[in-house]
Amino acid sequence: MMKSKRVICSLLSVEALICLVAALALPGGAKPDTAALLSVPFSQAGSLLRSLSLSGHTGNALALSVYLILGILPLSYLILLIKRKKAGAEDILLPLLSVLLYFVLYLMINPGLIRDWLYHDAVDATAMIPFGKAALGDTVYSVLISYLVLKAMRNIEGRSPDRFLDMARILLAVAAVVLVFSIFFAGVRGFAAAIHDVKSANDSDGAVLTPTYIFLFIGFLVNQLPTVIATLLFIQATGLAEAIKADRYGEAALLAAERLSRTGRNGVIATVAATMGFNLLQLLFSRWLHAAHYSTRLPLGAIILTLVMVLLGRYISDSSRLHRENQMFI
Amino acid sequence: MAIKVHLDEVLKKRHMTSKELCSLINITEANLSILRSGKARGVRFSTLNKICYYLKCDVGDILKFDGELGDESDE
Repeated sequence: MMKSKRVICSLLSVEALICLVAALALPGGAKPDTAALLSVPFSQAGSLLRSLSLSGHTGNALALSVYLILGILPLSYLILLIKRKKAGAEDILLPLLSVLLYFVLYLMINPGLIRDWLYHDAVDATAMIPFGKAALGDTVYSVLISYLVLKAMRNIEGRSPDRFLDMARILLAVAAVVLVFSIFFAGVRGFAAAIHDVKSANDSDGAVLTPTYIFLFIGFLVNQLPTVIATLLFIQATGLAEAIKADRYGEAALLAAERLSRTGRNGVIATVAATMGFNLLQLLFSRWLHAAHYSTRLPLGAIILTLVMVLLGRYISDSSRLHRENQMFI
Repeated sequence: MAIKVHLDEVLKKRHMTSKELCSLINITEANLSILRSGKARGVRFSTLNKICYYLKCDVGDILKFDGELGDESDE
């Protein structure tokens, strides 16, 4: 197994374990608090600066300094880029990010203003503050992500193939991390919440819930299958990128492309078969089930990805052959 | 193959070793060996140019057609 693939697999395994433990540690019916996640770390920074500011004159001066420094960071980066003559059109978002950071941090330091700014018409505006923090955090993240994506798109052109492959490996690894979180935290939490909901809804009448629990578990596995396959594809794609970087005409690159197309093909088959099988099983056992979820999946994305991988494999194979023939021209 | 390579004969006539020719025309000994053995898929004009210049010979002295249609399995 290629070195980077081995490292990525190890890191993802650790992440999966941590997410699983975290997911199972939460109380049964607790759903992931997305609102709280979106406000990280702005809410925490705001609370810290507020405490610092209220601690005294020195604390207040320190809080003001930290506030000014944090907000000016994107603008400072723009100035650095201009000095190095590396600024691009997308860097116009950096001053916007600075202004936004000042605004958001100010509201996080003074959360009462969130109520006035965002929810002045609401019946219970104070209760809406956590959602307001999430909205503010979401806005900053959207600008930041837009900036990073635009910068990445501009950097893709004009880059050497090796640099492009390095970027691709990083993006694929990040995507795999996100998907593992989705499976082992969000997915497991969803499953735990479903079990809790069924249990709460059927606790009093002495119903036998074991078949329902089993089917909920199978349903969880079937629902996560496309994400698992996508994760495998991303991991294998990092191996392909590494093989192409080492020798684009080599046997390793060809084998990696073939492996990727095989995984994609088997993944599509497994996804449709599992969905079909689960729906049929639910129908067969519906008499004993207290909860059922029927779905139809057309894994269009996976099909297109598989076709792309098969095509890539053919191109790599043809390129290798042409390269070998070219080598025989003296 | 229908085209035969007679490089060894020309080298012998000119009293030059393959190593010397390699350094003159700037190709590796491995590649020259491929050429001499007739396993090459083709020869670039620039390579032929240099060989003919340094061995003071014609293309026809290096490459000869034996009158047969080449085996397509060579492709």
